Amino acid sequence: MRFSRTPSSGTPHGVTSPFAVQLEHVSKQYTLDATKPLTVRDMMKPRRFFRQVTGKRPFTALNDINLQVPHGQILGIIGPNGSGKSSLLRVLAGISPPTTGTVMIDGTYGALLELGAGFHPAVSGRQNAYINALFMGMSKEDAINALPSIIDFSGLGDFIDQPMRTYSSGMFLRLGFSVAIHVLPDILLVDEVLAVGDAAFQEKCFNHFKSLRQQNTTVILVTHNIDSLVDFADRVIMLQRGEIKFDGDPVEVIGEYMKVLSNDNPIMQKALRRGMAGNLVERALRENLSAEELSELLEPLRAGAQAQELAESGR
Amino acid sequence: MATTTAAPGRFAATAAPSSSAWDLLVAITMRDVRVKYSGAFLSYFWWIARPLLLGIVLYFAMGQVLDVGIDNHGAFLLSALFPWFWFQGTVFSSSGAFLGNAGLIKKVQFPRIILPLSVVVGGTIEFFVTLPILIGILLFTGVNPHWEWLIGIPILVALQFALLCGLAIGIATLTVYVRDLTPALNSLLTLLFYLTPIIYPMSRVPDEYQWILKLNPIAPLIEAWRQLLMFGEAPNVDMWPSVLFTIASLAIGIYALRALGRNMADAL
Repeated sequence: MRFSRTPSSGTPHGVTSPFAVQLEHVSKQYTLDATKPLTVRDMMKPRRFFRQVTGKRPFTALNDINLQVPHGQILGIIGPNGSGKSSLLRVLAGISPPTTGTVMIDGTYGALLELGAGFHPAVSGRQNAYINALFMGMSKEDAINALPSIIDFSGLGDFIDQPMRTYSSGMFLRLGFSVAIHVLPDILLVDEVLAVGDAAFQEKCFNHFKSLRQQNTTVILVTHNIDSLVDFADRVIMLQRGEIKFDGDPVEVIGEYMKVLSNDNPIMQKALRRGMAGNLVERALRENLSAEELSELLEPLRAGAQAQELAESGR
Repeated sequence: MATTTAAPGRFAATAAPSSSAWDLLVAITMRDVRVKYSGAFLSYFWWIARPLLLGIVLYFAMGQVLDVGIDNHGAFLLSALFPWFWFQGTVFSSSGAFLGNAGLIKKVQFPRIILPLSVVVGGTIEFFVTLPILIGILLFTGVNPHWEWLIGIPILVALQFALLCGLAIGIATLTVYVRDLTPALNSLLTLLFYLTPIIYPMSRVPDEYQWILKLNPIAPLIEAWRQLLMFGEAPNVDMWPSVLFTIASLAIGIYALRALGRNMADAL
């Protein structure tokens, strides 16, 4: 309904453009109400009524975004809260249209903006998994074929035929994730799915994205888990106030992002450093690094912390 | 690939998600039909219990107490109540078709039209299942079977289905922007119940008030149901207001969704 199909050349996933995703001068504006929604009571107060009618102002969530994502690229999107990351993803997914500009998507696309979107508490996990797979863009045949594998991967066992209201939140997520990794479009849009779940869960996500790389899937990923971006993104863009501030190599862009964050907020800086240290330790365990090697990895963080402490004590 | 920079914004994709809207419609309709009375002890019995209970109350109050003097009063009431319940149940549920699925609409891209349509299809399935029971009751009360049922019922079902599609799409869309519609519908449907020849026959309406019922586009439809089921009178040209209203509601409903549905995810 909300997308026009431009005819593709005969090939099944007809590659017609060098870019999987192309944005030209894309802007997105929302209209903010001055105060609250208008009610009859407001109409009786002329001053409030006047403010209501005239006080509507546009809010620019995305401002003139130009972006080209080649086929097969894994693109990370980072930025502070309210910088337009989710708006961008929703525009890319065709969920909300750009106010101006053009979005062009070349290939089948699927969006994972939420695990288990539309799960119904009263029906079984099996049935919910099937419907969720259809909502995620799978064909009926694909969904039916994938169902045994989805159920197996979720590890829910006999619970799969129980109504989902009996599930724990962990079971809920496991089923949602299990469906999500069976959705294999040419272009995959992912929002913060990595942020949920425990370490083992995140590791599974991580492995899934690595396998997507081998299948030449284009992945656009919004996340706060910046350490994972360093590991497997080809490119990272940073949004700020609806504009692309930095675009390029993951390590460089993330470095800039950390600078922006710490300029804004020393608490954020500390939190980030702690997160980075945790991730580095995890990596050290995974790659079997020695204590010396780990210490070396942590050195820049330690230096940063000392610098901050000095700055704070000097204040 | 065409590279036009157009305002207003444009979204173009060379391939849509491979799932078909039809499969999704079937899946969520069947789910909602099963879920509606799941866990209820009487379960699907409620489908016939609701019109039947109201029928019994009206039969007692109008027939026995007020003694309105209508032949075969039970069959008279039920032949109109069953189609009416289909109508009002669907119209009322449709106002929540988008509003109640805000989370889905904000997070998943799919043809939104299937949400109101699934409400209509679900209601139609309910009516289809209860129809043989209604006919059984009618035959039991002494109504003769008519061969006109074979053509009349499909025609009326098709007309009411189309009417409900138009209304459901329009109401579901408008409710997103005008939240007052949900409580308003509640009152409107009660009003409409009394302005439709359900508890009284069209012929009993005094001439000076006939125009009120003529303005009600549902009246000819319900009247046609009763004439068909009780007397085997096939739908005829008197139905034109309902047909016209059906076409108008489809046009307006689809237009509303096209015009307003674009930004629905932002408005919810």
